[in-house]
Amino acid sequence: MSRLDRAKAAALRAWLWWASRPHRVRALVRRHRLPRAPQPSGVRVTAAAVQMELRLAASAGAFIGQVAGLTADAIGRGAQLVVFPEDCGTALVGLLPGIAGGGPHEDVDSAVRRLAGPGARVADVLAAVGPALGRIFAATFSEIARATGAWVVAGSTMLPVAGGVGNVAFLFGPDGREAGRHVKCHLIELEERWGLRTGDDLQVYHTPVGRLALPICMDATYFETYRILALRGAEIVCVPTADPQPYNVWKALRGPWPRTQESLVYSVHACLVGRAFGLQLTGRSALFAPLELTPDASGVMARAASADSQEVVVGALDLQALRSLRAHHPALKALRPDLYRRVFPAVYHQYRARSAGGRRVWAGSSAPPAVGEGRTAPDRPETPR
Amino acid sequence: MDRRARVRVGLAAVEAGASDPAAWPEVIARAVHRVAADADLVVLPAGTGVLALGAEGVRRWEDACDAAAGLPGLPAWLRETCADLARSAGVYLLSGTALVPQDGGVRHEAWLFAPDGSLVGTQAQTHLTPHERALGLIPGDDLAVFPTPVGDIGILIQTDLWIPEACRILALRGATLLLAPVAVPAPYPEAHQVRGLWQQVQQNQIFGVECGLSGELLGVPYRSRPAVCAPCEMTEGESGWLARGEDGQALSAVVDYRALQAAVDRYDIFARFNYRLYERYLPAIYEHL
Repeated sequence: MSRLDRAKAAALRAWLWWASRPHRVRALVRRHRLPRAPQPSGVRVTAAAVQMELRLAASAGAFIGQVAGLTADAIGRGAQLVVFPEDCGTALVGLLPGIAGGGPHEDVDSAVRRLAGPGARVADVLAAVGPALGRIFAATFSEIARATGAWVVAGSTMLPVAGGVGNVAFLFGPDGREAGRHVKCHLIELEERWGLRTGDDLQVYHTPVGRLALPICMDATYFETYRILALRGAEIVCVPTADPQPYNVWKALRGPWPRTQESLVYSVHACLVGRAFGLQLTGRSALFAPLELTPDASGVMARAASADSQEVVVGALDLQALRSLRAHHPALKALRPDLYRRVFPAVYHQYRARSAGGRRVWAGSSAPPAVGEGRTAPDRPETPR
Repeated sequence: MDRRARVRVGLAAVEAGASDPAAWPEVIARAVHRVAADADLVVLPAGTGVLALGAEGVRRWEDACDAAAGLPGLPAWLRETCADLARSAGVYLLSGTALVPQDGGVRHEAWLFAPDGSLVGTQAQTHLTPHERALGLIPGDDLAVFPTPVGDIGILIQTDLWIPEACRILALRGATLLLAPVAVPAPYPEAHQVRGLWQQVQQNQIFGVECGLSGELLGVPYRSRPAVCAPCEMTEGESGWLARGEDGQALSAVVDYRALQAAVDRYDIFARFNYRLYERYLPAIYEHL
């Protein structure tokens, strides 16, 4: 990078830091007349999954306007808990001068290289501008929560975290304070290429609207995520999502819905939709419940009508019914801690040790020795009786 | 071992209560031979051994375990019957399930036979609901993977199919083909199957076969939803269903291991495990139960 380029980058960071002053952002939020959320009752919670269109924001005010409009819709329909999608903070990348200059089909890697030079990765750019964009993001949702008195899961945005840049979700309480955060623990291939880091913790937040958790998108592909959260007490799992592929009802079913059924929680699934950087983002935001708590035994309480348009999905979650179901559900009673104590985590390590660099290989003659041909002894078939 | 790249699986249809209870060996033999002609592997549903108990005059599930404990010779007889069937049909055969007296109780077991009639392995149901325990069942100790030319086979019996830990253990141990003999009380809504076999296959990226009992057994009506599942990307319409049948239908499908490897090569869920996270919480988290 030339001296001139370094000077330009420093000037941009300085301008962004000035433009992201929290009191300025909060003032912009307060220009919107937002309704107040109903007080929580403790046993019944109205939740909203916000299906938000990704629009690169030309200004902080434009981003705030979009968020405020969606929040007003949710609160107007009684929501006490409002969940925004994964990567909704990406809209703020639009503040970077020239970011959209490559046209609507330019992928994000190319855009980053065009702006930051050959070899630059998304994480490199976000390490530099993420703190300022993150200030706008956090102040926006903090003030939205304070103004409405709702609990708000601010979707996620990419920010510097320990050891690099992570995909971070936030929870804000009705007083506007940050009540929790989660760093995505399972990345998609695209995020790995961008240079993001994974988190390695799962927390549950006790609130008047239930015990909340906020894993992000791909985290919900793994039963481990939900099982850990549910056994730590989670009742409502909020899942901000951004799925960069054409919508298919079956493929979309592989995330929070089965996890909801396995671990017996509610899920609030909020999807980012739209097109940006050559990506098509799709998803039908939804509220999921165990089959036993939905009258049609579908496990779906409410779902967005489309997979590509902005929409707010609202529904009531009965925490008492969930607690009662969990207390008596036969599948939970069937779990085998004694077996898991013997098997976990060794079975993961054994898998890792014999996989090809973490990758699975089985088929045909190229397969590694199979169980029974020299792998782990406990895997051997039982002796015929 | 010479592994086959493509394997045809036959799902036998067994309707309980449709014949004289004493005719259970013929019922099972007919069901196997109906799908065995072009199959490499045939799967029978759960409850095949309980049909035999019906022939001994057992009429209620509440009496089944006691009756099984009083008939210690029955499992050997069942095994011989299934071994003969595997040999005569020239297929790998999953026996369905039987109640097998063990020290301190009765296990719900399945047996896998080779085409020469030899026993490849035994798997007992590992996860029991309170109702199943009340019937007198005791759980199996572990989940095994059986390497065969027709796949590295893991067996999930009944409740095991709805427990993600069970399928994950098998997949981590190298299972490529999950066989699930079940007997699910009617009406068995589709969503209940999706939260069982279908999603286990999706999150572990392996093949799955569910073979269920239909008809009425010991006073309980059962509904089968025979199905073969694969990762969505390998199936028509990306649905995850390689083949599905209606209640009481036999079914047949080909599982292609090279195609499975290609699908996993394109996107490998296991390659993105967060080992640090699992190490931190597993198995300690289960103390919260």
